[in-house]
Formats: sequence, structure tokens, C-alpha cells
Amino acid sequence: MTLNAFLFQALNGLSTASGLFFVAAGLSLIFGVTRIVNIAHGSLYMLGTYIAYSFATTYAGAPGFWGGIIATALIVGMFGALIEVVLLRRIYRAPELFQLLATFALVLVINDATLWFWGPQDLLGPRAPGLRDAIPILGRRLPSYDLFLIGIAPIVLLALHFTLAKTRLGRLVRAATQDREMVGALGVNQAMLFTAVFALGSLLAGLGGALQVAREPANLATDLIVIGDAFVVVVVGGMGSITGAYLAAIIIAEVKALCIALGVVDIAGISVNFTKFTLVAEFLVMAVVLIARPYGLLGKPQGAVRSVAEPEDPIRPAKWPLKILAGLTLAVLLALPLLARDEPYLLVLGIDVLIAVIFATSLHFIAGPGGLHSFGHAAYFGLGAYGAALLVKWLAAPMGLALIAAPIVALFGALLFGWFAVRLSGVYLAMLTLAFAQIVWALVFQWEALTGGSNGVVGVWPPPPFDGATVYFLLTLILAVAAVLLLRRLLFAPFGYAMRAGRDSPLRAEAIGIDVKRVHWLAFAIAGCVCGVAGGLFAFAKGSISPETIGVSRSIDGLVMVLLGGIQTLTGPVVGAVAFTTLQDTVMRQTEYWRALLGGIILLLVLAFPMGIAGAFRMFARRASS
Amino acid sequence: MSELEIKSLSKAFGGVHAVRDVSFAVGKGEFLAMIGPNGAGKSTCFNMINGQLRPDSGEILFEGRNLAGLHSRDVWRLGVGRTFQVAAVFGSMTVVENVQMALISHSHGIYKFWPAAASQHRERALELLAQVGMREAADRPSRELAYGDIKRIELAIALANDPRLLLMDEPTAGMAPRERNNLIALVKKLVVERGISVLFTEHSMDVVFAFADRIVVLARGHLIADGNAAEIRDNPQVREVYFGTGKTFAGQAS
Repeated sequence: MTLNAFLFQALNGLSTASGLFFVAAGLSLIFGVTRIVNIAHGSLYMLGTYIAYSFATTYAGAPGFWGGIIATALIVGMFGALIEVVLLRRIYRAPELFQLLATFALVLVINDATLWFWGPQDLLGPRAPGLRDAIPILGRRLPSYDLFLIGIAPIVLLALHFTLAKTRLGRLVRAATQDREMVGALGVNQAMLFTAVFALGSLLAGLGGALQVAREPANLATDLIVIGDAFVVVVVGGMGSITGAYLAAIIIAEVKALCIALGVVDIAGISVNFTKFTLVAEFLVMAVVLIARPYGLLGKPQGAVRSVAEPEDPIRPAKWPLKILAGLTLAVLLALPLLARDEPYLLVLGIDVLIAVIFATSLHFIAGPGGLHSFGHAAYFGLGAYGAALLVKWLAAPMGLALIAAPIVALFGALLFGWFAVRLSGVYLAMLTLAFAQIVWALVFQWEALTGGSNGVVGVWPPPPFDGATVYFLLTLILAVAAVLLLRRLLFAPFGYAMRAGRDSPLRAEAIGIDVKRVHWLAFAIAGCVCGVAGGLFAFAKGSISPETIGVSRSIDGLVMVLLGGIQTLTGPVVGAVAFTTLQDTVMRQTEYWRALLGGIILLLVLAFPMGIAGAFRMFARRASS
Repeated sequence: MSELEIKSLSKAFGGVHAVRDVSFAVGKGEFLAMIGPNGAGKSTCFNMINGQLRPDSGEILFEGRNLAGLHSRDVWRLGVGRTFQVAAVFGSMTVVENVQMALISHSHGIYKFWPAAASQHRERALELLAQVGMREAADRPSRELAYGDIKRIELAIALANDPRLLLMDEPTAGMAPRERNNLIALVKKLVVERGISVLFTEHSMDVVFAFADRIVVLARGHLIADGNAAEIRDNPQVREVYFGTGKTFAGQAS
């Protein structure tokens, strides 16, 4: 590789950085003032590209293209304001986890709305009028539109900087970023301020997306890819810092460009294809920054988040009604193979439900009593599933060995990732766990030689006698019951109490000799390990495993199960997993727009039903008894 | 010999010198009050002694061992109990479970994964609760309690590791005057029985002058006085800090 090629890639990286900067700046601005991490910001970016495409193709020439870009930014900005007024205003005082889920629900709804309006195919816009040519530079030709993009990011940065430093809105934004309650106490109309900031942040995302129209096709997968990148940029740059976002966008884009420029390199006799590791490299940069500077390059430590959630009730051992109910449920499950003689699908559904129960219970273990709201629990599911499947594929391991290996592989992953994760809290923790899950996903997706890439690993079938649905169902049932009882026992043991102590009051816990980080780290590892069992069972149940089954959506599904059941109850995750999986396997498979349906369910949960199913039952039981 | 000896302790936050070259000692079994106006550096002192903050310089000798820079969990293991200015208890646990948690930790039982925590050290926890007058509320969720009662639970928690030194940051903040005297009288009784040394901060001068064996006064990060109640009352510097010199308004009054 020549130096010129290298510099050329660096320039290319700069033009990519500008799009990333727009999204990240908007995200950061909104978080600074409203303390909401808008996961739907990538969706606004995606909408920007689609809307700009429609303008550019409907109205020909420069007005359609350039005028369309400006109109798009304004439309997306107004759409953002609408979201703020209709949805976010209702959840500013809700627990963080609910806010994150609500904005994720928007991702699902917007994605399906886009699918409905524009269709599933990629849409490439026309080239930019006036900037169609390419400029010879460093012995290659760089599109002049890319140069335009390189130039526009610093201009917007300066404009934002000026707005924040000199205008009244800017002063209010800075004041609210420092102390939002104080700003409210001083008589500032917060509702207006929040709407304005949300509109501005959305406008930036829309602009970023619209500017990509001449460079990349509009694509339905953009939303999650962009938000993943934007998270990394914001975390690296520091929450709430616009300049930090610019700096981080450049660093991330350049690291990716470097990977592409390096290409295939021989290291100690092994040829490594660096172009395959762009995603991994990006998240490694973030991990390094978070270790050295936990609040990002230019970020400041966040003030303690004032907990708004009611402390939950003390946990009590199960009383007779619950024990009888659990016994009855178990009896029905044991009898299911008999009931399923005429309905073989019932057993397949049963296996799915039981695997979901293990997954959701292990997530609840850390998210509920541990207080660590992991947005990347799918990582340990994936490690378990791939650990088992790869053992079968490469070493022809028997199923028993593969199923033992699954939780061990997941345990090591959780020990590694958890060590970083427990050093953070709140939204930083959510973003870091999500990023780690993306690393696992990227590894299995990009490391084709080992994992089969997007095709996944196939032919992971259980040997006799487990090849029949009945026997495999019973195996899953035994493991699920064991996992649920084990985790429950841990919660009632001193370790589980110490874990809750660290969540309730880290200050007090440390002052009575509890090493909160170590306890939470261990809890994280235990949860990951148990989750690995679910992954292993899943691989053998389906006979295959592919990257798409271990993506972000599985992590979110887990959180929805936990919330649906009720995060403050110990039976919640079990109830939630059963309800959600049954719903998913029956209703949602019937419609093309299942994402929007799922989004609707999440919004309903967050807005109207925050205590979940088991929580509601408990409330009714208490009312009835008093 | 002193139980706790503070030598030239300093801490700055940015340009603000919160605590500057402070030295004093707490004798064995002594009930020592630290007073001073808001922002004098009392809580910063406490947080350095208890390990929440690392001092910029100086020594904190507890029974001859330097605590500076240790984690608060390690300070606790050496035999130092602590109550906080804003009471901190475990809201999702019952009253007795809060105390049990401290006892479990004291007996190195945190990493037990099988036995039920609710049955561990329950008798001893109930005893401690009886001593602070909270035996009746043992099985109530701690989040339901009034603030004064939570302060009592904190005291029971702080006594769980049989401390030889007790740090109490405004133990009576937010309590009614009568309740205040009761709580401090209770603390005094308990510590005299056990021979515990106590360092506490307090804004109520009635409490301080009635109960403290000795008083140190902090103002703007400096230690300005150290003596018994009578000496502190008559100290001109202390009077200036608390009441002003009268010079500020002299011009306008004439």
C-alpha cells in the first residue's frame, strides 16, 4: 500500500465523518437538555435520505436537489418536534429504561412506515447538480461532492458553536445541560425549550441523511447502523459536547478508513484481512476511550441521576398460591407432549417459550435486582449459540459437550465485557452493552472463514434420542426450570442481597464493606453464563444459527419481555417471556408489519402499563386482600 | 493515645481549597464535635476520612494506620462506622434486612450463593435494632419509614461491625428538636457503653454544647479553634465566624 492510497482513504474517511457528525451532534444536543437518549435518531437520518430522494427525483435539477435537501431538513425537524410533543413529553419523568425503550419503539414504527411508503428496494438519488465531476487528487479521482461534505461539517460545527455561545436559545440550552431543574425554577418555559432542542437535533439528523442522497442509496437498514455509529461517536466524544462529537466522528471514520486502506496484511505468517474488522475496530476505539476517560474525550461527569423510580417491595419467599400455581404450570408443561399429539407445532412453540424464559430471567437478574440495564444481552445468547454450533461444525463435538461449552463461552464473554460495563451506569452502561453486543455480532458476521458469515452455521441437529421434538422439549424444560430456580435462589442468598444493596445505595453498600463493582461484575458474568445455556439450546432447536438471530432486536426483545412481565417482580420475566413469545409466534408472524406492531406494544407498555403483567396481578391481589 | 489523628489534611476542588492544612485528634472514647458554617469543609473532611475522597496531602492515622486513599469499604473493615448527612439505606429491603446486610458483610459472608440471607444473623440484627429503639419496625419495608427512624437504622447499621470509631455526618439533620436530643443522647449512651470514639458534625449548637466532650471549629477550610465548650464559646475567632464582627454594616448604621 502506498502513502498516497493511504491519504486518499483518509480523505474518504473525512467525508464519511460529516454524516456521522450531524447525527451525533443532534443526539448529543438532545441528551444534554432532555436527558433522553433518542435511539430513533438513526431513523430520522434514514428518513432524511428517503425524503431527499423523493424531492430530487420529483423536481429535476438544482432546485429539486439542493432545495429538496433544505426542505428535508426542515420537515424532519418538524417531525422531531411532533415526536417530542406527542410522545416524549409524557415520559420525561419515567425511569431511564422506559425512555430508551420508547424511543426504540419509534425506530420500529418509523422503519415499517418507511417500508410501507417507499417499498423495500434501495433507492439511489441523482448526482448533485453542480458537483458531478471528480477532482484528481493523490493520483486518484475524488468526487467533488465528497470535498463539499468534508467542508460542510466544520461550517455547521461553527454555526452550532455560535448559536450556543451567543444566542438566547444557546444560553438556555447550556444552562439546561448543566442543571435542568434550576432552569425550570428560574421560570423558563421548559416545554418550549425541549421542543425547540428536539426539533434542532432532528433537523441536524435530517440534514445529515439528506446530504447522503447523492452518495449512498436510501436503505431500510440504515437506522440501526447509523445509531450504532452515532452512539460510539457520542460516547467517545463525550455526551453533550458538540466539539467532542466532531472530533470523535473524525477519529472513528479515520480508524475505519485505516482498516480499509490496510487491506490484507501478513502478521507473523497469518494473513489478516483488515477490511473485515472495521466494526470491531470502531468499538475497540470506544472501549479504549472509556477505560481512559469514562465520560468521553471532551465530556464531563454527569450529575447523579435523581432516581425517580419507587423502590420496589422487599423480596419474600414464594407463598402457597404461587407455589401451587408454579406446580400446576409445571404439570401442564410435562403433559404438553401428550397434548401436542395432534398439534405438533405446540412443542416447537413450547421450546421457543422455554428458551425465551431462560433468556429473559437471566436478563432480569442483572437489569432488575442488579440495576444494570443491559441493552446487549443478545451477546451472551450469541456466544452460547455460536460456541455450541462451532464446536459441532469444526470438532464434531457431541451435543452434551456443546451444551456444556455454550455457557462457558458466554461466561468468558460476560466476564470480559462486564468488567468494563460495571464501571458505568445509566445511559452509558446501556450504550456500552449495546456496543459490545454489536462487536459480537460484527465478529460473527465479518469473520466468514470461522463462522460462515451471513449464512451462519447450519446442520447443528441434536443426535437421537433428542432429535424428536418431545425429548428435546423435555431437555429444554429441565434446563429452564433449573436456570429459573438457580437464579431465584441466588437472589435470596447473601450474594443477591449484596447485589441489590449495591443498586439501592452504592454509597451505603461501599461504606459497609461491599465491593459493589466486583459484586455486580460477578452478577453480570452469572447472567451471561445462564444466558449462554439459552443460546446453546436455541442452536440445536433450530439446527442452525445466523448473525440475524443474535442482533440488537434480540436484546430489545429480552427487555420487552422483562418489562411486559414486570421488572420489579421475580416472576415477571417468566410471565413476560411466555406472553411475548406466544404473541410473537402467533400474531406477529401473520403480518408483514410486525415491527410496527411490536413498537406499538412497547409504547403501550411504557405509557399505560409500566408495572407489567405480574406487577398488575400483585397489585390486584393486594387490593383484594386489604 | 489518640484513636484518630488528622495531620495537615488538604483537599482542593479546582481552585477552591475545601480543606486546608487541618490537624486535630480524637482521643479514645472521646465524643468530638466538628462544627462550622456551611461550606467550611466538614463533609469534605468526613469523606476523606471515610474513603469517599482522596486527600491531596496529609495523613489520617486510625490507630496509627494511614487511611488516606483507602476505599471506604476497606476503612470500614478496619473498624470505622459511618452515617451519612442524607441518610442512605437499602430501600428495597426490610429494616432488619438492612442491618443483616451489614452483619453479613462484617462476617465476610457476601459471596455465599446458597443459604437464605433472611435467616443470617437475624438475632444479632434484632438486638441492634432493639438498642436503637426500632425492634418493632424490624419487618417493615425500610422505604416506608419516617426520616428520623431511618437515621436510627443507619445508626444500627453503623454499629454492626463493632466499630472503634464512629463518623456521624449531621446525624440529626431534618429532625425535630426533641427527637434530636433523644437521638444524640442514645448515641452517647451506646458509645460510652462500648468505649467507641465518635467524630460528628452538627448544626444544632444546643446538641453540641450539651453532649460534646470537645469541639473543633472549621471555617473556609481552616481549623480555627479546638477546645472544650467554654473555650469555644469565648473564642473571638469563632464568634466572628458565626456572628460576624459588626464591621460590615458599621458604615451604614452611623
